[in-house]
Amino acid sequence: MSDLQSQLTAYVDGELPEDVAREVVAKIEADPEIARTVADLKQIRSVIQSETPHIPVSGFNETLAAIRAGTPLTEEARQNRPFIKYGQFALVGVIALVLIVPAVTNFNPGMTAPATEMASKSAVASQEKAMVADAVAPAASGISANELGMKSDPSASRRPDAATGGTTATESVLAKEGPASDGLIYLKPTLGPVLPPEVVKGPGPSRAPGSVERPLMALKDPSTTMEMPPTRVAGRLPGAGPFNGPVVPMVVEPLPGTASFEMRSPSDPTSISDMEAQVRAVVSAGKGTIGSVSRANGESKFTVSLDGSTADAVILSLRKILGNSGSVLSLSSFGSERTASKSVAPPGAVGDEPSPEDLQKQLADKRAKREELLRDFYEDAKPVKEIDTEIADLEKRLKERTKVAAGKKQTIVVTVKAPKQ
Amino acid sequence: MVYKFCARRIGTERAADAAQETFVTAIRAISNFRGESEAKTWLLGIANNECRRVIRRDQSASLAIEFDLDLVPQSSEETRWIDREVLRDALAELSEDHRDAVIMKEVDGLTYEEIGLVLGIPSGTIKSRVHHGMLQLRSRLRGQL
Repeated sequence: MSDLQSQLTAYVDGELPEDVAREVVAKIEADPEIARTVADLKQIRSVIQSETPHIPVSGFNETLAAIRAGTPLTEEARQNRPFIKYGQFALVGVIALVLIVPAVTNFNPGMTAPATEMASKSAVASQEKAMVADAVAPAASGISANELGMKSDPSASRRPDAATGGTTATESVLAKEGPASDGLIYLKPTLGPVLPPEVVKGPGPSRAPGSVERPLMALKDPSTTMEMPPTRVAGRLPGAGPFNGPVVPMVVEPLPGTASFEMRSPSDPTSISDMEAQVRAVVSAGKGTIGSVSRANGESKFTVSLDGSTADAVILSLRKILGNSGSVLSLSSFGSERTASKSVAPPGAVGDEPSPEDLQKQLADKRAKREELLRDFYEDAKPVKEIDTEIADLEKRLKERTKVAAGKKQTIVVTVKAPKQ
Repeated sequence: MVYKFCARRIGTERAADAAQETFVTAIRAISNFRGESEAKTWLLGIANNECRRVIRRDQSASLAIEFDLDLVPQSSEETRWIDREVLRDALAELSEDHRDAVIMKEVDGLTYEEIGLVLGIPSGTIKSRVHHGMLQLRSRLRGQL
C-alpha cells in the first residue's frame, strides 16, 4: 500500500496527527490528481453516511412501563424459560453498567441511553415471547399433552442427544393411519435450553380456513433446517377439537446425518393393525422399504431394508413404539435371520469407533464450549484456536463415519404382536 | 448503539436478541473488565462476537448494508450523483473484513483504534482495511464519481 494513498484515506477519516495532516494538505494543494482522489474518497464517505438507513430505537419509558405491567409468570414457567430470567437479568445488568462503569472508566454516557433502551426492549420482547409461548402451551389452550400425543414431561420428550447448546431437537408425533385418523403428522419441536416447547403443526383435511400449512421438511429431509416465522396455526387436533393459536419464531434443526425424530401415536395402539400402521409409517418416514410381510400365530413379521444413514434412528423409533409388543432383529450379511438372533446393536456400535450420535454429541459439546469461550476471547485467541482444531477433527471423523453408514444398507426383521390390553 | 451495531450486521429481527445476549454476557464478564478500553468498545466487542455466533448458528451471511431504495435521495451535492443501488452492490462486493472495517468507520463512527479493539486486531490492520475498502469502492464507483 502506498504510504501517501493510505494517508489520504486516514486524512479523510480525520485519523492523522496534526503535523502529518498539514503535510498531506500541502500535497493535495500541489497535485490535482491527489486532490481528485481526496474528493472522491470524501464523496464516497459522505454518501455511505447519508444513505445508511436510520435504525430507530425508541420507547424506553414505554418499555419500563410494560415490564412493570407485565403479567407475572408462574414460578414453573420462569424455571422453564431461562431467557425470561436473563431478560430481567439483562435489564438489571444494563442499569448496573450505566451506574458502575462510568465510575471506573472514561465511559461515554452518550451511548448508554439507547443501549439501555434496547436491552430493556429485549427484556420485554423475551417476556412477550414467553407469554405467547404460554398462550399456545397445551395446558393454556385447554388441550392436554396426552391429547396431543405428547409426553407430559417436556424434558422427557427431548432426545438425549438434543442438548446441543443452541441446536434444537424435534419430536414429531405421527397420527395413526386409517379412516379414524386424519393421517396428519404433527411436529412438536422441543427447543433445547432456550425456548419452550410449542405446538407448530395442525393443518390437515379438517383444518380451519386460513390456517397455515407447512411441509414437514424435517421428516422428509433430515438435513433440512426449517425456520418458522411468527404466525398463527389453526387446525383440529385428534381428540382435542379445534386449535387456534399463535406460534413463536423457531428453527427446527435436525441433527445432520440422522433422522432426528421420534414417532408415536397420539393414542396408545389398541390392535395389531395399529402397530402395523405405525411400523409402516416409521419405515416410510425413514426412507426404508418393506420387502415382505408375513402373518402367523397372531404375529406380523416385516422384512425391512433401511438406508444406513437413517437406520439407527428408525430402529430406535421402532423399538420405542413396539415396546413389549414386538422386536427388531438385524439380519446377517447372508440374509439369514437365524444367525442374527441377538438384538440390534446400539446405534453405530462398530468396534471402538464412537457412533455418529456420540460424535455429534461430542461435537455439540465442543461447539457449545467454543461459544462460551467466545464470550471472553477473540476468535484468534489460543483457547479458541485449540478448540477449533478439536472441532475440525470431530467434524472430519463424523463425516467419515456418516459416509460409511450412508453407504451401507441394513436389513431388519420387525415382529409385531398384538399389544396387551 | 449496541442494537444498531447488531442490526447492521444481522438485521433488525435478530438484533434485539443479540443485543440482549450482549448485555447478559457483559454482566457475566464485568469482573474481567479492567477499564483498559472504553466500555463502548468492550461492549461492541462482545456484540461483534454475538453477531458472529448468530451468523454461524443460522448459517447466514453477514449483511451487506441495505439502503431503502424507495427513499427520496438526499439533496446534498455529494450524494446526488451516486446511484444507491450501485453503491450497495459495490459494498456487497467487498470482502467481509473490508466491509466491516469501512462500515464501522464510516457508519458506526468508530476510530481505527476502537475498531481494532472491537475486532481484536491491530489498528494498523484496520487502517489498511479501510483504505483498501475505500479504494475498491472508488474503483467500482468510478463511473459515478
